[in-house]
Amino acid sequence: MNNVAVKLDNISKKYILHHEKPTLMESFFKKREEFWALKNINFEVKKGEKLGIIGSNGAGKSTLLKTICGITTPSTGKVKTFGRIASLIELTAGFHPDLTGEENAYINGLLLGMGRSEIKKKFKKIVDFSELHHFIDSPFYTYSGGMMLRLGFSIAIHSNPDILIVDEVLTAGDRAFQEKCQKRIKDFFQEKTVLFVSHNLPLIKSFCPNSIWLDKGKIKSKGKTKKVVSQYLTKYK
Amino acid sequence: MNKTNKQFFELLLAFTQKEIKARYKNAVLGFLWIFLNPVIQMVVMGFVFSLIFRFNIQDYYLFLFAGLLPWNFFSLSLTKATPSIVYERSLIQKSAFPREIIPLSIVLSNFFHILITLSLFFIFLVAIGKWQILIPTNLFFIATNLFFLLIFTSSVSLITSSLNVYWRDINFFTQALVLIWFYATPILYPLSLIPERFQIIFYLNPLSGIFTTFQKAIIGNGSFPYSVLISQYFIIICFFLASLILFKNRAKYFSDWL
Repeated sequence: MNNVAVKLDNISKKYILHHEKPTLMESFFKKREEFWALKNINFEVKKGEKLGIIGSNGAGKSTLLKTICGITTPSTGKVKTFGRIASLIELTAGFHPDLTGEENAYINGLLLGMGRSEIKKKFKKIVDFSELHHFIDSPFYTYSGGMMLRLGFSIAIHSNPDILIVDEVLTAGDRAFQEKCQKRIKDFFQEKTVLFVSHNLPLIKSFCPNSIWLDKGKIKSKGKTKKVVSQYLTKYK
Repeated sequence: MNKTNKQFFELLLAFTQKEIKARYKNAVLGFLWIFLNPVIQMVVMGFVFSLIFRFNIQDYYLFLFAGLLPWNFFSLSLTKATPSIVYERSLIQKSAFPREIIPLSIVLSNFFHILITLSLFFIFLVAIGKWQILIPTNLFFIATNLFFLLIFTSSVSLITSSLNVYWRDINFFTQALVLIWFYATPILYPLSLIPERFQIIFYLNPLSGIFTTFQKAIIGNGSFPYSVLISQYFIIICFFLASLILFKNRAKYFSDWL
């Protein structure tokens, strides 16, 4: 069987640079300024592999994650993913302030690729994990930021993805909940494919055996995390 | 049904429910407004139009309802769906899901409303002794035309909402378009009032067939050639497929423009 989880084949992503609102004449005649956020990216992530992605701000990390999730389409090249993807980039996407926690949990779960019956089955567990029993039928605008994140995290982790995309935000809620989340992610790290973007280099070192260093839209270096991180650090010394 | 299709329809349904629920959630009278609004609307329209504005038609206000109710569906859906992709930018930037769900859920939630309004209207018609909507052929025409109205409204909404991402002018353009379209469709006046040689212009408007047949089925006023009606149906279906393709194509790059 196929043991590849994510395969990027010569991915490039071009953006049109928007400046101050152009005049009508300019918008028709001026040549558009292009900006390549990603340029010829090739890599493959095996099932169960944990890959760290590092790089300075504006290196193209977010664009890379967006293309892998399918939020945006690359200008050239092909992204292939095998299995359900969940991203912990944005936990509160799709929450509507006027709906209750329960109604929002359903919509969010569907957005993450779960079926209605699946959510129904896991609903109790989702609420248990988020510890929001008392508030689950309250409208969402009464929730605090931390409560929203808890529910969002709980839904994402229960959607049982094959590929997990983790951005900086391992920091949902208070300390106790954070520890719970990190433990859950560590369990998850055991068996699933993970793409982990972070500026926290020690954390990357402890989680991911292999890493990629992105710089100005290109892969500057890839391989063993220890090697990649030290190369990355020498550049910024 | 395969798994992705099922997923699509579940999500579409959930978004439609969200549209409907969110609208009434914090109103004290809640879902009662779904019934209250159209009743108030009809009473006001009936008053205003049967007093000031009338053609020589029997039961002019009933004729008006037969046109204005579906028109409200069309214009409300279109004006609300057009900017919908831009409004939901945060969702589009953060989550990968079939983008057409956003405008389609708005159209569907409005469709739910028109179904309720029409049922009220039909109960009213039966109560005042206008039984003719209960004739099976008329019911068939009402259902068919509602279906094509839904398809057509969805197509226009898909096109305007996707283009509005690139050119925000589309939103203003649509508002003007809706106004012009209102007078270009036989709603305030019956098609039979138009001199025969100009009627051919109306055949170019896919809504004219739907509305005229609708009025005929409901209050027995007006007629529309079947051959034109069938070709309009055919055009509507082609238009729907084309709009889906256009939308799918554009949707790939929505997140870059929001």
